[in-house]
Amino acid sequence: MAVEIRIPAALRRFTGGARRVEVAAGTLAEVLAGVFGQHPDLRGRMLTAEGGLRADARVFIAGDEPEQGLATAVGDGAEVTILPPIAGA
Amino acid sequence: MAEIPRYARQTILPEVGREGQARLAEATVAVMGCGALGSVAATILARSGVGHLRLIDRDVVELHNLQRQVLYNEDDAARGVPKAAAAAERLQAVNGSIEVLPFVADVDHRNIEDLLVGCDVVVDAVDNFESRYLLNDAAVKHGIPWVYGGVIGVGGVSMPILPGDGPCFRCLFPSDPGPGAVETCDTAGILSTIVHIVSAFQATEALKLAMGRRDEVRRELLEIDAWSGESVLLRIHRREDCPVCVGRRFEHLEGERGSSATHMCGRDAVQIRPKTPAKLDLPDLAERLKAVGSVNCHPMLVRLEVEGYQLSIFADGRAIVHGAGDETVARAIYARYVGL
Repeated sequence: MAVEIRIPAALRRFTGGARRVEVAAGTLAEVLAGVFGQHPDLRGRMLTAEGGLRADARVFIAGDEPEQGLATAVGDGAEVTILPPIAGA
Repeated sequence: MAEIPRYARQTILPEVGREGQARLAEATVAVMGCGALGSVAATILARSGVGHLRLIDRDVVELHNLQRQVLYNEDDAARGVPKAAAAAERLQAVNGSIEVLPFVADVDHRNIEDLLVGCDVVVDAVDNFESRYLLNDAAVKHGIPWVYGGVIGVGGVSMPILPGDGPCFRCLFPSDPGPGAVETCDTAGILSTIVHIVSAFQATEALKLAMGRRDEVRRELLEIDAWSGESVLLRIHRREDCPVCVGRRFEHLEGERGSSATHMCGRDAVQIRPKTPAKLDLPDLAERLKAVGSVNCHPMLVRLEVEGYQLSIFADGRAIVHGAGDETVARAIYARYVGL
């Protein structure tokens, strides 16, 4: 299923400036694997060494928190948003 | 002909009205940080008629601030005046009917409760996560609403935090990214327009809270991109295991988390040490810092020369700031270039 991922401005240095990434995936884990396949530098910013989601990296499906973590199903056409911690003032 | 009252254009709004304006005149709002976001938010709040403003900042005005920190001018930068003092002077001249109090202070776990006591709302305009976790602890402990705002590059976020009613900042980011893990405006850059956008959203929520219109406060996190014009609202949920808003354990406020700064005896240097050791990616940090100064990357440390200071940054997050005779200056430099 086609899923679009919004890359916020703070993370675009890891995606070569790309604002959106499209992948074919059924779960959130597959979505992220697809994104990291296209932009490997983003992996370390999002995942722990063990492969789990870092506590300071948030991911949302259609504007809400995934109920079952990385195993959450992502519907066709859904928008996934990545949110890093933003410190600047 | 009778003069039109000062707040006429605001009191005719159904969202404000005479009653809302009267509530604003009675309200106390703290702006924590008087850099880019704080300059804009404080200006809006002062002009809107918030009766009691507390402006808190540890820093002095520098030339490179003027691109986005709209309260300051070249004379402030030449004289290196404290931002809180310059901001208070300027806003008092804008609105003589309100009280504007400057606090030139390095906010830490020892003074934050005194600085915020009696506030109806706090606008977060700090430049580091350590201060935000500290603010969150103090705000949740005392039930003070606050409005998170963060900007970097061309994007930013904002979210109101209502203690006891929805998620707190620790629910949003349960774990501190730690020193050197996130980019700062000084290393990644910042477009001035996103500052105004995010700060205006923060000030809007602060005005609602100051007027007692809590039911109308936005509950989602707003993420916005000034360059593309795109934005998204994200629903954040309270975490059942949140140590702060559920467990009421205030580790930052108790001084158990965060960092310490120690003047090194006999040397013009200050050591900054995170209480929880970090795991810095030194080559990545060195790469980021190349944009701002002269950088040498060794296997054990990164050395940065910038603004006349020399920073030796180690993989555990510890840093020695040479040329900073004062702990407050050293903490500000560390937050600016390494990030807390």
